Amino acid sequence: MPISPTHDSAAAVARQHDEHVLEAPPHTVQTLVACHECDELQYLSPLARCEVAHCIRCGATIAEGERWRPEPFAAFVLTTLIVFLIANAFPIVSLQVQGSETQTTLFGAVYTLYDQHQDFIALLVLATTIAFPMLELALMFGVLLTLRRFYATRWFRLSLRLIQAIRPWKMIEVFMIGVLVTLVKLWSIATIIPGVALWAFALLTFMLGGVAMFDPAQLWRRVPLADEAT
Amino acid sequence: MTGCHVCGLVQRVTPGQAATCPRCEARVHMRKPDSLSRSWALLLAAYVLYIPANLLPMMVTSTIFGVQQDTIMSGVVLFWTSGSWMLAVIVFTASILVPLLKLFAMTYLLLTVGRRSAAEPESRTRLYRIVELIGRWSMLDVFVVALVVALVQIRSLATITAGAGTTAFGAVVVLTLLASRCFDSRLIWDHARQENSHD
Ligand SMILES: [Zn+2]
Ligand SMILES: [Zn+2]
Ligand SMILES: [Zn+2]
Repeated sequence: MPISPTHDSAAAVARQHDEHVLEAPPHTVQTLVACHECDELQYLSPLARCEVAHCIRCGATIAEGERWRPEPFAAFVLTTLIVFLIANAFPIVSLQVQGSETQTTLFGAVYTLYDQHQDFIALLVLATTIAFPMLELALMFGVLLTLRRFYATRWFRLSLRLIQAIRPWKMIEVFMIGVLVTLVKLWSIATIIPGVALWAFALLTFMLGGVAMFDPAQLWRRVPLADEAT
Repeated sequence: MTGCHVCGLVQRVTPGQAATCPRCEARVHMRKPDSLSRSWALLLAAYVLYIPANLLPMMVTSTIFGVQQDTIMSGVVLFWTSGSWMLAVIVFTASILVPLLKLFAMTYLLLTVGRRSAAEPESRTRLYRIVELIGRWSMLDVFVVALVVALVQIRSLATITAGAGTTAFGAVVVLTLLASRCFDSRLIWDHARQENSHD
């Protein structure tokens, strides 16, 4: 029999917020949390906006106050998804040498690697720069959109888990620095013309930083425990 | 009692036995299963692949003058000698320092936890946090290769293809990332806690 002080408040949130699910859960009591880095059990007071709680023993971040309200965040995620699609639809840079011109999109780079039988690297680049970021944004948007009605469903739980699982594996910011290094590398041998996608990727890097500030824990708090879900 | 690693719900778990979290349905363990042996296996594989990753070419440039093969280190040297010191430092840090630091830091963490060391749990946890934070940045060179290879395909002048080194290097990055994921930093504190209770 699992016991937990968050049990009651989570169920209460689930029941009370049929109408006003988008409001912050009423954390009037302290909750018990276990540090994910050292397992120290400790009580946590409600956090103000942007406030961060650290573990009393090891100093790890154990909880964050809400930086985003779900509704504006859903709009932000949708905008980020659109910027992501623009970044992938247009060439990043064009290269001109003695009259001939080559250009590439991100997917074009993946395809070239695949074409050269570098299947593993092609897959790695595809996953970390296209598949995972897009999947995370799409799932996050879906989760936020259906928050009001489906927070008690299995679909919701699986999506949230998937979002958390792929988060460490998306590397747009590393890719962005990679683009800059490539530009300097090729600067001396060719004329380089920045494409639309270059600016889109720069913007996307900052926007994904904003998306990363959303703590999925605030959605987990709304999910009722399994024995009361149905 | 421990927290679910996915949703954070604190619940009672029998050590050594897996339970299902009542909130997110993930498997909840007191500690990540076989944390040490899995991390060691992934880390040793990373060490082995680190050698071809540095010896095999990352990029092969074919021009009318011949074929040139560039390893990670020769790429850094090329940046340095051509005057792009900033880039030489960035690429050297991301492709050589970060992977080495990750390999050594993980080895140190696994050794100390294996020895049930109780010394300096804070600084070891901080080291683990740094490993988690910087791990992804060693992908930098892989992305550079992907872009250069796609752009430099001028048939009359030069074509660049990705070398076998990229696969080895990419595998090192993935293996070290997985090794640090499999490592359970709570193990560092388990022994520190036991030591304190002996006093
Ligand atoms: Zn802690
Ligand atoms: Zn416990
Ligand atoms: Zn859980």
